[in-house]
Amino acid sequence: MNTAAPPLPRSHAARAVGEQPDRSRWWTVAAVASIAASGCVWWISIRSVDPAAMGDTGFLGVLPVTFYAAVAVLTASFCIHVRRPSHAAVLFLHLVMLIIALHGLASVIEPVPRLSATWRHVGIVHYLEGHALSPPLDAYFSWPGFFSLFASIEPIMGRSATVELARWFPIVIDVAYLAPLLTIFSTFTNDRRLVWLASWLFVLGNWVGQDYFSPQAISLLLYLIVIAVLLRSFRRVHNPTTPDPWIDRLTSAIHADEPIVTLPRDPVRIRIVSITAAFVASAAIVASHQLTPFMLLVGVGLLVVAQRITVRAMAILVAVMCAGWLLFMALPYLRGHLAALLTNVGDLGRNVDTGLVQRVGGSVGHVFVAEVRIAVTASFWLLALVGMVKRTIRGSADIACWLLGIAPFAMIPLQPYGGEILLRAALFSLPFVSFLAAGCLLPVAETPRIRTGGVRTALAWPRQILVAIVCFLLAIGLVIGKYGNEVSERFDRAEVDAVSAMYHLGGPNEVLISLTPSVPWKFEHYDWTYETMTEDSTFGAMTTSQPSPASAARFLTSIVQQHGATVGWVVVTRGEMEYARLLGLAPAGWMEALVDAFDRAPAFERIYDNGEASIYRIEAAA
Amino acid sequence: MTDLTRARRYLWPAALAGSTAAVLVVVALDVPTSTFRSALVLWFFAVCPGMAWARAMGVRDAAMRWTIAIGGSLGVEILLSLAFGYAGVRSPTLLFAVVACATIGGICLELVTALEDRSADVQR
Repeated sequence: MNTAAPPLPRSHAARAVGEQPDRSRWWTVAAVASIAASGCVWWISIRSVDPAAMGDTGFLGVLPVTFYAAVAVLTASFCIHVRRPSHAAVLFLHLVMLIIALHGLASVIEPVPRLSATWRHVGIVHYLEGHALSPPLDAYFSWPGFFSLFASIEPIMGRSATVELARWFPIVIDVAYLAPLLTIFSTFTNDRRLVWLASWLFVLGNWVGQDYFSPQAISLLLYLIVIAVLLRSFRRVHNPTTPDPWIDRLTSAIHADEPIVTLPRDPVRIRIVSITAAFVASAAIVASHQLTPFMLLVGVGLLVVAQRITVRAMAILVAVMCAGWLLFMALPYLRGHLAALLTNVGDLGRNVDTGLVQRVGGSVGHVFVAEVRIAVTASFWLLALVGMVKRTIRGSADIACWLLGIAPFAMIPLQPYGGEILLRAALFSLPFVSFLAAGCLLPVAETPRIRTGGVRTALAWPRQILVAIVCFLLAIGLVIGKYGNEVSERFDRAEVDAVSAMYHLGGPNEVLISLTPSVPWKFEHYDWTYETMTEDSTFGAMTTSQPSPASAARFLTSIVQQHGATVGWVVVTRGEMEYARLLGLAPAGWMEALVDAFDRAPAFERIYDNGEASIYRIEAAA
Repeated sequence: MTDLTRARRYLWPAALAGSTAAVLVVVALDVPTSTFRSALVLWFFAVCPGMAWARAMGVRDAAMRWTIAIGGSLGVEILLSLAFGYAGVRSPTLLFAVVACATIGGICLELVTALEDRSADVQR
């Protein structure tokens, strides 16, 4: 039963604004000035950054001290204003500036979109503009919602506008996440400081980098929207005439109840528009991404089982939609992959191994980046654990938050998801982990006694300094974690030009070959034949000896002949070489020796070279 | 309700109608591809229809209004583009027409509600 936390008589904001209106205005001016100052310093700092000077730790080594000063000013300003009754717009501006400063770094510094997958997704959009949705070429076409949407609106945005959109997409999507996040957090607490700090921590903790132009980025947004709508409009309200849910009886044993959140109950018409939005968003998730529907199913299912929401039918509806899509729309994919999918079910050790242990390897810089990522995630979880215990001891058991935080990890025993299941589970749990971590950093304010009293107010400043330091360290962690592999994930215009040249030279009956996956290709002619040398099953054996012109020709000729073609085009770019070196795919100097062998082999002819990338033509008959 | 509050109430419907008209003009005149054109079209498709209906249905909380606006807009458009795609009638113009109609419908509903509220104020 909810008795521990009486609703606050007046909001913190209303009380303080009423008492000091003039002073508040000056604080707002100061906030805007500090955001503008940090923005200017940030802009000046990154304009001088040379991506070509980047090392194995990504942006960390090339960003000037003034960049970190700008982030420090912004962090300090936020921490000062979040403890004050600042206007929501001021705090929102801080968040937007933080997103631009950290998640927009690559968009501003680099001339073209980063990540090979971004270019691939642009290519699928371009392909769908001129082709029907079926027959499917690969798994993307069994969940084509995201691509179908952008294939429909790209002609309105303008030809090839998707490439430019993809460059700025991380900023757009990270700002869009804020609306559902603020809604979700405000259903957990009345304390607005906690709501804003949790949002701040989410931005700092999102190093996973799934915010590029991708179905998973949009699906995560829709997932958060569904959860926000269900928690906001369909929360279970305590009814004294009915028995408490089992989970409440459990938590009441430790004298903790879910905090009473003083949100007004929505009228029927708002509930209608809310459930409609939740339904269409859920259907769009099911049609857009393989993994997110199951994350949603587990999350909503747990909320229903624990009686946190009143729309029990939602879980059934999501389950029916998932099953229906798999059985009818994704059947071609299932037919080809069912055995492989079932092989990994229950193999927890292997799934964790591919997602964690195998990622710590490669060059010294790459290992350092992987360790920082693990440390940042572990820090978040530690803070969240302490926050959870602290809030529970103080009488606030955030049951819905706990459940949604652990729900994504239910997927780990089921699938390795290409070695990414741990990353994806961490990403989906991040909003809720951020809230609990914010609860660790701030005092529990559900009880009014915490919010008044001279001694506690006097102690607030050291705490705010501590919060600012933690946030600043996490910001540095984000720069390392998100951009640590940037040397192989960024592209130059010259690399894109080389791939465009390859499209002019090659044809649909020829094979396009890259050395490693880090190439900005497939943005046109998605249905042509592509091969990546390091993904060939015999590549490992080939690296045991130094490459010769004959062995290089033999290896690549066999790849071309596997597809019944007689001509192949090999693209060699700076990013590919960096990728191989960073991940340690071959012994040191081996890839350079291979390219040297291309130049000496009679079967190869260098057709194109722009300094950053080369294209070789290979005759399979030779 | 003061005149200023009343005027503010019409700001969003005006902005949404203006966005719809601007996209229509951009498409009709085939304005060259630019950041402005991309941003305008993205804004229209990602926010406008959902925002029109969220406001028309009286969602007052700002964060919740944006949540429903983005979720409703993207959700409906993904489903529509898939339906058109599988039916073999995918057309950017058709999608724009449907979304523009939905936006205008939401704006009209909000204006009707606003006018009813205003006449109720006058009667009081």
